[in-house]
Amino acid sequence: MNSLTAPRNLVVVTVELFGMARIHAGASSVTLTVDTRSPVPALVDALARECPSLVGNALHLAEDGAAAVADGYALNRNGLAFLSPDTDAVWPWQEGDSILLLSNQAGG
Amino acid sequence: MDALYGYRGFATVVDLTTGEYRRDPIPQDALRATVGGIGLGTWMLHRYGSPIVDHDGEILSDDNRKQLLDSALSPDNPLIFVTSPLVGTRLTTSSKFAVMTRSPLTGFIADGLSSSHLAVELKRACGDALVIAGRSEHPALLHIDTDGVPHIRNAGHLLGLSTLDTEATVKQELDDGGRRPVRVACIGPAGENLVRFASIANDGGRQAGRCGPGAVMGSKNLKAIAVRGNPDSDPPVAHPEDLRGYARDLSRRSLGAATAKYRELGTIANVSVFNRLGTLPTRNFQQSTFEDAEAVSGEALHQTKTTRSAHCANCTIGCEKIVTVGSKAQGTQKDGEVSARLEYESLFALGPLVGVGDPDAVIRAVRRCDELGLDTISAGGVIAWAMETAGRGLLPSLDLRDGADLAHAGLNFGDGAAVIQLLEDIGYRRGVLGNLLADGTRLAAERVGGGSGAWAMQVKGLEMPGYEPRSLKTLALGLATTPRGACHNRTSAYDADFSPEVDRLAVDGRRGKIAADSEDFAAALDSLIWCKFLRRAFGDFWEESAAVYRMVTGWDDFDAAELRRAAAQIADLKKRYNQRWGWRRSDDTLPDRALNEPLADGVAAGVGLTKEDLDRMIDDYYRARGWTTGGRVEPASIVL
Repeated sequence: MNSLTAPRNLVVVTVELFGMARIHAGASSVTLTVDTRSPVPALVDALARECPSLVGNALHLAEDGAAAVADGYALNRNGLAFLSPDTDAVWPWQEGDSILLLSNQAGG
Repeated sequence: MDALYGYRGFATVVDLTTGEYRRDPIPQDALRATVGGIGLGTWMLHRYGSPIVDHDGEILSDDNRKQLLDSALSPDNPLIFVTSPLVGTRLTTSSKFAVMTRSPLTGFIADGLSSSHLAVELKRACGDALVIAGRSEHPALLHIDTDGVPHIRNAGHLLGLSTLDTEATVKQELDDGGRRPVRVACIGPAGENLVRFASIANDGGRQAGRCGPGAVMGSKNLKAIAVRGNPDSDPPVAHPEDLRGYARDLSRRSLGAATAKYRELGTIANVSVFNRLGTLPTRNFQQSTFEDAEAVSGEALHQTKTTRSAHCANCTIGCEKIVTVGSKAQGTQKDGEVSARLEYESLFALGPLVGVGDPDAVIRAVRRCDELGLDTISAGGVIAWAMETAGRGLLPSLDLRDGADLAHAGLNFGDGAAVIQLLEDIGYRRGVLGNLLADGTRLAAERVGGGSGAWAMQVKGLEMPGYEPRSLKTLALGLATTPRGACHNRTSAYDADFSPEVDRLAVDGRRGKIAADSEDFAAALDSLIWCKFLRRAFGDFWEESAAVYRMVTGWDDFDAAELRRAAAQIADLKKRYNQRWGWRRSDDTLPDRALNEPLADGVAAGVGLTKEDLDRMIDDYYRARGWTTGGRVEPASIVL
């Protein structure tokens, strides 16, 4: 059974927005329905579709139309693990997970 | 002597006791080995501020250490302003200077940084450094104009003025009607009253804040310094065309994604993020989240308050956000309009750390600190300690006699009005409590006793910044080992914690190397001097910085490897300076609370840090540095 034929297992996750991402979106969070085995880029793509006002600041579109986290931003899962935004590794998302979209510039 | 590019090659040395001055040459090998800024400043501290008796390796009694602490306020302790080879080049963020002295709060190295026009004028008027020794017999204004000759003027009429009023008055008095204005560094009432965490202010509110350089300036009876150099004194640059091209490119990059946070919301954006990550110290580090964090978050202030950006001279980033609260109609009354330069550390220290969630109260407190000339982090830290101590019923053990003191007997977290009243009492050393807190958390806890040292959140006497060490383990190591005490700026170890590189909640054997490398990185930044907020705009920081150094100085064989060696040696020089002033292994640690109490709330609830784990990381750090197992740098390993 390959990924095309595997049954989809959908969960609802929340993307929490920080900094200018929050201000551009006009909301502090966005809810997404994703496959538990979605790699990070697929989740970011879903976020861009759900919240297009993030494109051009916290997210950008590549030439092929795929969304990616913009330079200067980072992702974190549940306030604990920081994620490599470009990785194809699958984080088995769970119902109720929170993904934080925040600046990668930590100091101050 | 070879032609000198980028540097002036001398320091102006002023003795306030005798009124004499001289120009001391600085050897070229010392300039090259220490680069400038904090590196050169540390070298100068060894040269001008060594102890009469070298205490390296000596086991000092507590009384002896107390005497060494107090001797930081003696005329023998120099106050040194140091520029860098990049000052005057118009490279973005390069108009910076270091303020070096021995701290009356820690007894060890105090290496502050500040920015803006003063840096350029210092280099023109004084050379690569201005060394101030001795003590004036009268309140003094040190005035150095375009001829480079220091004049010690009477400043009795400036006593009691705020930092902002002092600067405005001096500028007005020395205005010569049309030429460039003088640039001023000064202290407020806190420095005059020798508050051990008094700051030095310049250029309308920039601060060399940490470790109490303002108290050292006050101990010299020096209220202000005014400088105006001759632009013709700017040292030549070796490869000006190359530098111009590079400067344009760097400016372009400085306006990109790598600095977006600093340009858009500024560092106050940290509040909501740190709260979510369980790294926002709250109520004297009893919590790592704050229930009112959203109210004082950068996002909320951006949307609900009048905010504008401010730039240092020659800076394209403009990280500072000036936030205005109150009503013009109320004039100077309690609810009147007030503006404050707001950045994360001030916001954290006078907000969540003291339990205050009213943004107006926080902004008024920040403004008051700037006027009095108080380091906001230490001010918030010592007040948070006092609030917890009061809550535990220990403050009545003080002899609280006058009205102001009695009002503080029922001190509580979250009382914004009490915070402002305490800032006044500290700044003027009013009453028993104000006078006690003006000496900082460590000394206050020693005097009050009752176990209150366990919640005195300081390292080497310096109050902790707004990063919770139990949930940022790499930074915890950096805070424990950095020579100037609990400082997040002389280590950038938090960068690893806020990345996929490490598990920030756990300890492992890599942290010693990461912390040492991050400290070297900071040493290079702080010596060249680049702004930290530019750090992600570089491609390869070491290669680029070495190339810039070559363009400026013409030392064309200076490469990235030499810059790395210089940075590591600067760390050695700082450590050696502390050793000479009585450093011992037990000074590299964290407060009892951080080592004995797991976090109570937030995503990291239950996570702690044991002394054994911290000691293991410290051992790894010493090993990475090539120091002895006892943490000492051997004098023979320092080669200039």
